[in-house]
Amino acid sequence: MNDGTAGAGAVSLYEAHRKVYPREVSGRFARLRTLAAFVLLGVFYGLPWLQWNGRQAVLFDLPARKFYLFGLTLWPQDFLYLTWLLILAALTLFFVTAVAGRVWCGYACPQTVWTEAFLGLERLVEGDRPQRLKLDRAPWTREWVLRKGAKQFLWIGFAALTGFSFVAFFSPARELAANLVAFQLGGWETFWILFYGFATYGNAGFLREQVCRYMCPYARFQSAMFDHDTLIVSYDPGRGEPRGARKRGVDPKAVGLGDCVDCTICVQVCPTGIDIRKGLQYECIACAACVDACDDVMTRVGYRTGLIRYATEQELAGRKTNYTRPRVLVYGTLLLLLAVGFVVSLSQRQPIGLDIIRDRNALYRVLPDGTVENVYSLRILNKDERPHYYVISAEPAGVFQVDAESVQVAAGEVRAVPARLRVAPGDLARAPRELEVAVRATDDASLEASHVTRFFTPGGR
Amino acid sequence: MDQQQVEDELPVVRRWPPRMRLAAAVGWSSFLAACVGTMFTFAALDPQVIIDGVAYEQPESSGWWLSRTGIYSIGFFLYWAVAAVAGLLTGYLQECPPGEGDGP
Ligand code: SF4
Ligand code: SF4
Repeated sequence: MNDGTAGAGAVSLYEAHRKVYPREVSGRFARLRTLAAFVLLGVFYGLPWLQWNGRQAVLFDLPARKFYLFGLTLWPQDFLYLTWLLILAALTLFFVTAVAGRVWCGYACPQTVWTEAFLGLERLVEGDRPQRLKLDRAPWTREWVLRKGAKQFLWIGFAALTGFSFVAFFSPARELAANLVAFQLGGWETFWILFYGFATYGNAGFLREQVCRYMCPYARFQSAMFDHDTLIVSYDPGRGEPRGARKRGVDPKAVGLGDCVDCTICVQVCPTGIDIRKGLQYECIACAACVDACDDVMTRVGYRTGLIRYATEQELAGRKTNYTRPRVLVYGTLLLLLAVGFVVSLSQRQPIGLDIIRDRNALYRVLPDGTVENVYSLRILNKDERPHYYVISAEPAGVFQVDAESVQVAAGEVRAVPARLRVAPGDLARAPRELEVAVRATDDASLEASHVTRFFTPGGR
Repeated sequence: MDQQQVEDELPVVRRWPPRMRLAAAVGWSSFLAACVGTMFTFAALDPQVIIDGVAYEQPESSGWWLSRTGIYSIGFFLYWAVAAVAGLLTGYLQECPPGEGDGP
């Protein structure tokens, strides 16, 4: 810290930094962060409105128990894929964390992204940090009330929009919007919009870095996932220490100082309020704001940039980073296997499903001519993108006669079809107790599903 | 540039008292647990079964919660509450260790 002992040189240096420091950090990582935030927010607010084949492209239609993901329709029966996907996501996170530290936190975590958005709105109405400080020191002035009011208005509006967009992933967006305008939203929909909006407001406007500090489990896993070869945002103490203010143009070596001019800019820009120069701390969300800030200072004082940079502990100690260490290889291999397996099994997935329920009221019926009949109820699921006609057959075909129409099932629908199977008296001896009922699409013979069920005859076999 | 202004420039780190930290940590982790629990439960169980059951037993009833979304939501909050109670109890037990020397 500057504490008067630093002398006039330090003061002028500090003054110079106040200019470089319009509160927002600028630099390559700041640009990357903003870009990531825009892309992610764009996806979040835009995706519910995207159409695909005449329906919402991405819709987790909970009321109808169907998930639409572009060309894919997932049913509760496909729950495995969802679990699989979650495991893949978790593994990707581990892998990335082991290699490159907490890039997730810095660029992609909703907590970070929405906090940035809320901070952006705050800056818009209240100005940069010095202006905000000034404003807050004199509350209840007219300006204070106006600016704070405007900020709250924007924040609440943005939070409400977020809540709406969230619910629009689960309940068709267009209907939801129409209902909203007509004041006909359902109770639960209203509740969830408010709930999510409120959570957004609280987390991004109010709690902010406290979420990362006190609530997020991922932040605490960091020590378990990092090793000496993980890329982290780090301060190079070998180069920077001993830190201290100095007059402009002085050779640091001559006065026994390192490259850190102790301007504390890196601390001021840190969204979690830590001092990266104390080493790796679990609060650090690897946003690289301090990297940008420090590079800027280094450029200004005419030193090499990179005093704070993405580096591994090995690298800082002057050794080579080991990228092919067991942890990375294991995570990488697992990830690859699971990803390939996922794609393969998804492509093998039959877009047809079949359930058979026997008629509970009668085991069998004997027709006047001695033919035995069993009644079943078939549920045909068409998980395909197009409607299909299906024909029902039973094996062995020579024995069982099927009395059921070919049925049409619309894309992504399920249809219950009654089916009667008959065996002529002469064939009864040949009729097996178990048989296989199959449905096949008339226009695509590969679309087939079958199910084993039982056939009862008076013989009691 | 006086000392006061320099200090203003540095972020004020707001630290929470332990009880508040526990509440926040429990709130969030039980929320995550409730998400997972709800997902698995309702992947296997269609709330329509419950709705049909109620409709069969009491054809007159039309509860505000009698919809798939309603039952999902209630299931979620039940899970959340149960997980939060477990979390708070764990935190409480951690906080007050058993006394020394009064064992059997
Ligand atoms: S610490 Fe947790 S909440 Fe914070 S940015 Fe990282 S993942 Fe998100
Ligand atoms: S120390 Fe702060 S500013 Fe630097 S990367 Fe970590 S969280 Fe960001």
